[in-house]
Amino acid sequence: MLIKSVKVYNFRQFKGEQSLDFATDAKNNVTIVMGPNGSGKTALAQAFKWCLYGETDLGDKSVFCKAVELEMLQNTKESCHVQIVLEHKGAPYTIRRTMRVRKEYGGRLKEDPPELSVASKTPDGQTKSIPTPELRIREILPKDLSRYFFFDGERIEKMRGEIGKGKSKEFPAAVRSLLGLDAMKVAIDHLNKVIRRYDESCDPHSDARMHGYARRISELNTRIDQISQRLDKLGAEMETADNRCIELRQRILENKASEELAQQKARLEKLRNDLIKQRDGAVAQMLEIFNKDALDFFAAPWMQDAMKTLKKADKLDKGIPDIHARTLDYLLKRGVCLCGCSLEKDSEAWETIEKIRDFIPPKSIGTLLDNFSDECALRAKNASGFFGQMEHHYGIVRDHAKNYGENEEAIKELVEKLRGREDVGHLQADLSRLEQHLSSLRNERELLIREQGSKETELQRLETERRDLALKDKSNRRIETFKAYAQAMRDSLNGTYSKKEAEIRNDLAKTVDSIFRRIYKGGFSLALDENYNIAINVTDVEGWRGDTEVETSTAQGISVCFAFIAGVIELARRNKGDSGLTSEVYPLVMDAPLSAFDKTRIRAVCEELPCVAGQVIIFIKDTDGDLAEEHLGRKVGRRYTFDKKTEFETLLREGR
Amino acid sequence: MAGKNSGLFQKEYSFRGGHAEHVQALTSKFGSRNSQLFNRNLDVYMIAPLVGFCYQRRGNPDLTPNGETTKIFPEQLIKESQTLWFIYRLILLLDKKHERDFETRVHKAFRNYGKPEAEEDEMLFDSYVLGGVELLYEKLLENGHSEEDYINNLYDFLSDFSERYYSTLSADDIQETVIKLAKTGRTTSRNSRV
Amino acid sequence: MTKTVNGIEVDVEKANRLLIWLVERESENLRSREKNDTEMAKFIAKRIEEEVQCL
Repeated sequence: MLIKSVKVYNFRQFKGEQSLDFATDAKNNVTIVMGPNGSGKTALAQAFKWCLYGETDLGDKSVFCKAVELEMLQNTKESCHVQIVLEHKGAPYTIRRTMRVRKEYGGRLKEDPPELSVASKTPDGQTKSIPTPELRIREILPKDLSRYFFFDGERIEKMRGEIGKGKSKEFPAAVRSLLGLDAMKVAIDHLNKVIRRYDESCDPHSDARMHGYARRISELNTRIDQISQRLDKLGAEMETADNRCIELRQRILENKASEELAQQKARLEKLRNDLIKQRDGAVAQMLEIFNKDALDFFAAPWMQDAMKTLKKADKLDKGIPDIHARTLDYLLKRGVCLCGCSLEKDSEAWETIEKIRDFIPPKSIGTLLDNFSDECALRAKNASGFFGQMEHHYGIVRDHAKNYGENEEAIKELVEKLRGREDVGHLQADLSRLEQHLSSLRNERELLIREQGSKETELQRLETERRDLALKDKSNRRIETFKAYAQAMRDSLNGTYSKKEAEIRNDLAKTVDSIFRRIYKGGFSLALDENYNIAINVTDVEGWRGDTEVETSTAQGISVCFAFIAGVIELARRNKGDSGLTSEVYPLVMDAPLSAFDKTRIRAVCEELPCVAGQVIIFIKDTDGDLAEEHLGRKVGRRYTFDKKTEFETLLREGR
Repeated sequence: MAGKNSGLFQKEYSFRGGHAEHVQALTSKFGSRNSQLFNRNLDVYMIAPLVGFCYQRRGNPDLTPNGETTKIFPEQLIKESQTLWFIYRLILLLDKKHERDFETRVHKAFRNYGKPEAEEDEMLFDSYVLGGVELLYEKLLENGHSEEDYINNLYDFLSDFSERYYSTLSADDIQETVIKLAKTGRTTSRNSRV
Repeated sequence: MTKTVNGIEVDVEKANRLLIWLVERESENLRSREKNDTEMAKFIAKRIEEEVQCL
């Protein structure tokens, strides 16, 4: 992904429209943006974040240009926007976030919620608006990874401070993003919950102390559950309100009716009918196969068991060899046994002879067992194809359910669009009301989270005490079995997760260390232990030529930051599929406090940066301009200067 | 092949009370094309004991007065008696909890069936039938309101059964499989569920 | 194959099957957000109990 240009209009210090085109050539891929402190370098860096994700890290959240605000008359409207043109996987994208403002009577500035639009071009040159802009941005560059490609001066300073104390939160956060194993983490959390639940259940007739624990634990769990449920509900309410806000904004934007839309709608309605027919067919097939063959499917595993079992049956008594029921009939009819005894009807001798029938052909058990085995084999064969067929038809049903759902959504969207002009003022009012509601929900959530924390701490204490007691109570054996399974599963997952985490952490440490060594030409190395403590070690005392103590630690800290950023980017590219990145090259947009370094270090850092990223956009102080030219000069494709006119107004100029 | 004295699989069979309601639900028509999960009561009667046996669910007849009933006619049972005896034999041959000794199980399955001695075996079979009916209702119908729900429940139930009894996984595969799944989720068509 | 956990014999094949089922469900739930944590824990416990009791 490469950034081609950014255009800001009335954004922070940038009055009117100002734009930057970035160097994207493979050899000259560095763009330098130079200016004094306070001229808006950070603001420009934040413009990217605001445009893509609607957020900034700036203390003052208002992004509208103050200079323009001062000039506005009461009851007039204005707007500000940031537009990014980028290229991702060969397709050009234009991403634009616009915010409209109005100066009310009394002088207050009212800001409308910003609107986002993403447009792309099809291969034949047609402009196409993307209906799900937030999703597409997430595909191009997910927010939690974007923080490694956009690194402003304040964050470098914060991280440097943390590194100075020996540990930075940025490292474990990066490892988690790179891992991408959220499902496992959440499974471990749930298993812990399950295990806790089992600890809670106990026989109330046993030891009175257990009963006491159970009661207190149950009360705590009830309250924690209540809080959890309320938090979930809040989360859902907030998400609904949020989505509704997005929807309202979208609707305010799209107010045009069009004939083409009506035609589209007709096409989709026909598709809807076709989909229904296909799905019904698949369902009918599934039920037909089920009613015909399910029996063999359910019986097959047992039939395998049965056939194995019956092999043992060879040792069973199969009766008298070579005697058939016909023999008995003959003997009974003639009334005299083989041995010469008389066989009177219903006498004991007669009954004995009758009983033998069960053991000889055609009713001998041998025959019955053989027949049974044969039937098992036949049915088992029949069963083997059953599930495959069911899966096949079910797949059709699921695919069509999804396609149907999407089609219905598309039809609904078209219906909405075709409804014509709506009362925008009405929609705006709804929007403001929703945003206030969101704010009060957020407050409630804060309070609940705090209460939840303290209750959970107490709960864990009680459960540990109770668990020790529970193991001695025999009546809990069944529960203990379930708990043992949950523990075995949790331990297995923990092991796998920790192993993977350690792998990525070691990878990151090695990568960051090798880049760090290159910056320090081997004089220093960096190590990361399993608790993410950072240690910088001198490897070559002779080779090191530092100036002062102060410069050393500050410069080292910043070098670690650079090495870290470069390391994460490299790992993210290496583990492409896992971390969510889908492109080959990425830009690096950062503030670079070059003058904190000595000359050798600057050269080393400047040599590393363009290798790491496909494109480097670097913001520097004007006093560092010469340094940057000296060390990056050959790779620089574009240069811009910030011209600070007043406190509130800055102009961008190309060139030095 | 049918027993001389008990009448199992020869006489009319009635589901009663809660079980009758479940069986009626399982055979009822739904959706725009009048689909059915089970075509006849007899189809439920044939699958239920196997399912009850697998899940170790046993049920007791619901004898509340004035409860629902639904029947299977003797002609239907007699027509399928070969299959029914097959199922009966399978269960009695393999149910170690009911009878530990192998030879006795063989006798129960192949010799005593249909005789007065088989009364407790026939009660066992019937309890699996009723437990199986309860389980089928729970798995297929309880948490569903629409044709889509029933089909999803049916697939889930068959899929669980298939995974439990038809697949084998070695210990080495486990770590790799679990990591892969954590990243990508399932690869079957269930993934596309909205 | 079995192993002992807290003095209880655990069937390793069953536990592995449960693991696979669990991670699949968790992946899906992360996408659909259908169940909250409490519901997932109940759902998982029910499955463990059913699987342990099955033959």
